[in-house]
Amino acid sequence: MSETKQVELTSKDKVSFKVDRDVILMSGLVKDMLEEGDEDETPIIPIPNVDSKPLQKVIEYCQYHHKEPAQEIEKPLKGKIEDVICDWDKKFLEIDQSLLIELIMAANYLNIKDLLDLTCAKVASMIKGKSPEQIREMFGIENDFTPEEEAKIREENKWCEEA
Amino acid sequence: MAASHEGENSSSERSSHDVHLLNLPIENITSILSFVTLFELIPLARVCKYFHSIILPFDDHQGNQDQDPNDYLLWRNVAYCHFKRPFVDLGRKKRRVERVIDINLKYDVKDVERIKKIIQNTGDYWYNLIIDFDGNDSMVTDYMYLLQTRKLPNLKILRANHVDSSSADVISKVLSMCPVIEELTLKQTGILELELESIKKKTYKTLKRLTVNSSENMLCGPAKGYVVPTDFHFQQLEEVYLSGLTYCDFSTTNTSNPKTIKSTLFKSKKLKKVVMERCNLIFGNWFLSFYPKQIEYLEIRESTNLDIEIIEHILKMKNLKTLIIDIQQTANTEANTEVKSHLSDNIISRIFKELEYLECLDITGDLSSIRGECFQHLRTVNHLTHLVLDSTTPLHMIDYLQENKNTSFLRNSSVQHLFISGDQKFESDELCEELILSYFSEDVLEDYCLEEISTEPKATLNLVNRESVFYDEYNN
Repeated sequence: MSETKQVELTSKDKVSFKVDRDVILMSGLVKDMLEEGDEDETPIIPIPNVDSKPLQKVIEYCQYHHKEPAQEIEKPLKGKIEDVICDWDKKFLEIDQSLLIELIMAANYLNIKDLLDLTCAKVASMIKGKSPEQIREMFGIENDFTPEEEAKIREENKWCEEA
Repeated sequence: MAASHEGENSSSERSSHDVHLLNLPIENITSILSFVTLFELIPLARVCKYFHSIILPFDDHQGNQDQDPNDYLLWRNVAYCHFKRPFVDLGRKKRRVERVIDINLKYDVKDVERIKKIIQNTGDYWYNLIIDFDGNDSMVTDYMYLLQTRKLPNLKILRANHVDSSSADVISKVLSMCPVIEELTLKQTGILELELESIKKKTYKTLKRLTVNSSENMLCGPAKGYVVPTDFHFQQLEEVYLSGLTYCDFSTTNTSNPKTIKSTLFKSKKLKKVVMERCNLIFGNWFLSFYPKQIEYLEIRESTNLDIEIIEHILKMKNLKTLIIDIQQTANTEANTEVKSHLSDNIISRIFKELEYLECLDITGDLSSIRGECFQHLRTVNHLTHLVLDSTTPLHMIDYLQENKNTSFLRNSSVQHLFISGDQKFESDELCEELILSYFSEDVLEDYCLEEISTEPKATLNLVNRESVFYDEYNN
């Protein structure tokens, strides 16, 4: 019985993950690197921009979706993201906000389009329909506008709010 | 998945607030906001300066004069954000999101007042406009009236769906408000009766790509009006895609000027690519006759009346690099009988001989008239790299090819990808190899496939891009 080829990924915090080559080929970055390397060995690929926690989630995503391709998420979202993704993805996204942001960075760095879309759509879903104040509170964002600046922006874009 | 931990001071153990939404680079924020509609974006611009800088056009006092307003997400999100560039360009390289503004007025916007405000306030930034003249939509008239009231100085792409005789005039007027339009697509067009005389000279001069996709079996009536030859040259036109034109008579003459539309309308010295699908080639006849020397790419699919006159026009295209003819869908028609009789060894031989720069020849259909005599001429062809002869009816060429394989010691030294389908004797691997080695250079040929009708290919071909614009992302 032939053994499945594996790849070893090393995270920013020096945690190693062995993962099937077929699975991690979902990453455009890893795919490019593997094409340049030696086929016979189990390659060790450093992922210096991604910590172990998000990397583990990325691998989890690839392990599921390399056999079950994700459906494209419509832009813009018409409703909640939960209405357009599968049950597995819903469960996958039950993570804290910080890890979600890290996943976006990881998906972007590793070049995994479907995961990037999923995580970005999740954040978009969180901010849709919220007021600026609610969004600041949700994400801990400081209001760095002066009252005058804020009033000016509101005035300039009144046409949109009135329409 | 197995994990092992070698390092110390794991950053994965840090507190959750270390990673913040605003730590995301601009391309990630842009990706997030691409899932948000225009009217949800505006409040987001008030969240903080970072969001504002991404979403809204610059103010002079911010010192961003170098940034094109079209770079801002707002304008790309008016209806929906559409990244033209592939994902790989994001993140690891400099962001190269194409400046696209997609406006689909029917998509999000349901009331005239809102549309009016959008047009007034954002018209300068529009890049790509899609209009759908759906007959069931009572707002179409209002949309169109509003569009004619404002110049769209940056609009490059206009797509109109369900165009009929009543909306053609509107399209012409909208075009006249688009001085830099480069792509015009008319899809599901019922009648092509554009009031051509109302289109400004400037519009014609900037158009690079024209697509007319007519509804099934629609008649394409004579063009109304006329054009003054010196005013209406498509001087920049590079690509023409025509689909479903079964009859089209552009021969209406201007009484004050004897030249016809056909001699002026498409008179572009830059035209390189012509695709005709489901067309009656009687229409294509005159069309093709105007570009004997400049067309480099000609694709004819599922079209009727491919007669000897069309073939003669094609043979005059001395710079043709790609010729794709697919007539398999027209089987059992009178037109197909003509095709069968004309696509003979003699014609294919002439193609090899007379189209000196041809790189790709791809013909599909009833090729039973081809015995293989044309292969003799392959030996002096220098540029042809892709050769596809895909017969839907039985071929009888293998015997001929075997008998004549030693008539010359010369072999073709250009073909890299070969596909011939249709001869029952292709079932023999030995015969195939013998045939291949006697006519083609083993050193040059990268892959080949000789197959019987309705069998799986024996080798994989990587042919040139045969994709037609009619199957593109805007097919809906």
